[in-house]
Amino acid sequence: MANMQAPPENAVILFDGTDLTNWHQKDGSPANWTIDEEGAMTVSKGSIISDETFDDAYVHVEFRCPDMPEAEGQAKGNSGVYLQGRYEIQVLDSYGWEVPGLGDCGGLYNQYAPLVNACKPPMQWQTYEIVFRAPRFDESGEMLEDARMTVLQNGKVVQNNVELDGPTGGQLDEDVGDPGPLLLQDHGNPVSYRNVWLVHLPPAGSDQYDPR
Amino acid sequence: MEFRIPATEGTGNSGVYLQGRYEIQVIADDVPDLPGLKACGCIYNQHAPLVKADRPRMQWQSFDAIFRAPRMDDGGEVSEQARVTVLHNGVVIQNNVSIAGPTGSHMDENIAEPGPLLLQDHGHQPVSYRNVWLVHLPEKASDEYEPK
Repeated sequence: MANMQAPPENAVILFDGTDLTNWHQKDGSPANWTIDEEGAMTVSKGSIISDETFDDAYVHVEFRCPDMPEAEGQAKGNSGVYLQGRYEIQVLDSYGWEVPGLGDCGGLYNQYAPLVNACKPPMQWQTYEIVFRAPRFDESGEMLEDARMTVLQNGKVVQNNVELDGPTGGQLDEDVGDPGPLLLQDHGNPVSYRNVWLVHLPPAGSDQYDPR
Repeated sequence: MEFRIPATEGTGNSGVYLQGRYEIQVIADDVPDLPGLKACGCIYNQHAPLVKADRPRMQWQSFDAIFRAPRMDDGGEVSEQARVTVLHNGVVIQNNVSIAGPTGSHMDENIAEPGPLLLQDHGHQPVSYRNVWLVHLPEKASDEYEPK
């Protein structure tokens, strides 16, 4: 398909347009969103959860909000991308607002509004590039650093190395020390997704020489 | 920004200093016994790159850096250290890391002040640069729920 970013060789492909075998629903049953002939899947009958789980990761998601001219606010093209099933980057038709708020597209829901409004109009494909750093703990299990994220929406930085204050609401669980999946939210609006993949990142670099 | 390590001369040692204070190391990937904390893409002596994403000498390479300046409290104390996320040739090598103060050979320690980009001359290392630009990011987003 044209204008899609090709995943790198070491990416884990979560959705390439063919099927939903890598996804399930909250109750464990198969994901059943609809897939069209162009390789897009559209919200239907519940949120879907990737079988793959991750700690630190680079995640690529493309999404498209439906055209809902009569709808307003949180009823307009609402969905969400949950990192580890716990930290939501809001998906919403926020196109046109001068100062987006804590519930708008590109925001980390109710914690960090996007730095700028990077939204495209409804029915246009948009991208999230997410660099996610899982929380860090000391040996006794106390949290040293909460989850951090840097997010680009359509190539523009909307979240700059921010540190979250715990899960953002509607999370799958509170097991913040464990790996978690990607969750795409059913918020009742027919938002579409395509070309979803991630690259696992190591927790730290090596300070030892690593010969090639 | 983009950089290129010279063909043969030396180690290709240079560096990109954010605010003139925090160095992302530039160096050839064929330097023997180079520890991660001094390898290309490291935050010098603080954070090794997560993976090796180098290209060979004479090939153009890119750094994309998303930088968050330190945050200060009302008393002028650092409440949050500088943080940075860096992609080297499109690969994430620094993931939202905190930088515990300026790295070596920084211009100054006025860490609450804005600072420039500095490209380092490490002496007899003809490293090349091109296509260098930045986008200012707002310090803070809205703290209200509703958009305006």
